[in-house]
Amino acid sequence: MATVVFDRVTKRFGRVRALDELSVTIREGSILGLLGPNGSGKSTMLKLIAGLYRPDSGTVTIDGMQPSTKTKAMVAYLPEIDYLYGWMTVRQILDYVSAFYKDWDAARCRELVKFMGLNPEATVSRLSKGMRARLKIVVAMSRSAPLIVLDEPLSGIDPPSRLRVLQAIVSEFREDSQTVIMSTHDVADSENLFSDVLFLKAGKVALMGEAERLREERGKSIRDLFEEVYA
Amino acid sequence: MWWQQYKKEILGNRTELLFLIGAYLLWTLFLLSRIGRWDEGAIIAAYFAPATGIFPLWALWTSVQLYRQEWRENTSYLMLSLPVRARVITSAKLAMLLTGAVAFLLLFAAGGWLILDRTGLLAEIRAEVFPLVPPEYWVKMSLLGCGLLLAGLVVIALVAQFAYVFSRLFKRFQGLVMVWSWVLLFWLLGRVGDFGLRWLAFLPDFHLRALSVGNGIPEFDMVAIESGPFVAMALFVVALYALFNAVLERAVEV
Repeated sequence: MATVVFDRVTKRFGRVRALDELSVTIREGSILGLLGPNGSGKSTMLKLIAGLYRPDSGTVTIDGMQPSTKTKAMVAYLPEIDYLYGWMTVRQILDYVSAFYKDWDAARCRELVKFMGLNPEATVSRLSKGMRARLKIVVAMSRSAPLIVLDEPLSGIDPPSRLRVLQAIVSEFREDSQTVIMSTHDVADSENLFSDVLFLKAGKVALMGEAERLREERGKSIRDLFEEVYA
Repeated sequence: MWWQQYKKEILGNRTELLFLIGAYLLWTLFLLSRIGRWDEGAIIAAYFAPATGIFPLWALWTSVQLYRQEWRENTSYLMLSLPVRARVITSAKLAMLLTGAVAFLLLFAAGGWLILDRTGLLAEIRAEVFPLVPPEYWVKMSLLGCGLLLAGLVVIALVAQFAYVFSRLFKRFQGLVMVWSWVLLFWLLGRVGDFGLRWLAFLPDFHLRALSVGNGIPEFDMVAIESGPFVAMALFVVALYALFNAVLERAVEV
């Protein structure tokens, strides 16, 4: 399992502060819903964890280590955009990625490919958007990584694919050994998935806590809280 | 891991490689069909001249493309999130380039041999030059030439790739930064060579047997070449490679 700590992290893009002195600790074994509208800093936060961005100030640590080759081995990262080689087949992608990770579970990968209805011989660029989203989930969830980071895994995909993706996340999550961070601005589909939620607003924490406790304390669903925070 | 990365680079660039090889084969076949119709000198020039221009341009273009494509197609997200040292990625990309260059060189040599043979020039060389010069000399000089060519290619590729990745550190004027980095690095390389000539003069010289033919009699003279500039430039290239890996691993973003 992995603990992620953001300590006064600022990340700027020109004059815009995507993250503004953000300090957050993500507890081990949780499924954290990272919530917020577009531009709230969700993707930036996840890219910092994956080591794809560097903070302008402050520190990000994963189990006490700053992002490096070592932490990249601990993180299964799924970006929002299509990041897989379009000329490869599904099989080639999985072979290629699996070579880099010691925690790759080939049996789980085969099951997920079957569950997601993917054709191993299909070329990635010819897959529909929904199928490409499913493939990205297979790549991320075929590992026994201590930290799974999913950036908008449900974005722009059809309802059947959404359901499959959510089912895969739930069925493959191992509470005793994994932490999942999933960003979304679509709370309705994924509300029940989260054990914890973090609402981001203009790069700062607007609200954070255990999902169940927030529901009890505020007497509202996470979806209603989302609307309240971003009203 | 390295093998998978190398295989990915080869497969990812196979279309371009096959296109180049195909074009070159067609050009060779076309020139072969012109034998007897065109002047022999023109055919040989038409065979050898384009390669001297195409080869460095291809090396330069492909060197940049190997990284540019990663950012353009967002696969840099995958490349930079892999838990490997940057040298695995950079060396695999350089190895892909060298593989293409060696394939191109072999094809070029085979085509050249065929053209020289069909134009009758090879028979002349065999009759007039081969008896005078031992074959092992030709082999050694050819290998040295190929080695120097490939070393030059690595330097061009490394400078071009570093300049591109370095330009990614800037949010604006990336093209300008890339071109200026490129110019500056080649200028620095020249200065480093001068430095080596002056300050590394204590290093032993390279000795090369140079051939000259006077009145049909071959003569071999031992030529001494100062090793200082080569050593200094080699160290500069190693340092540049280390810096390149550090930038890719610790500084550059998607």
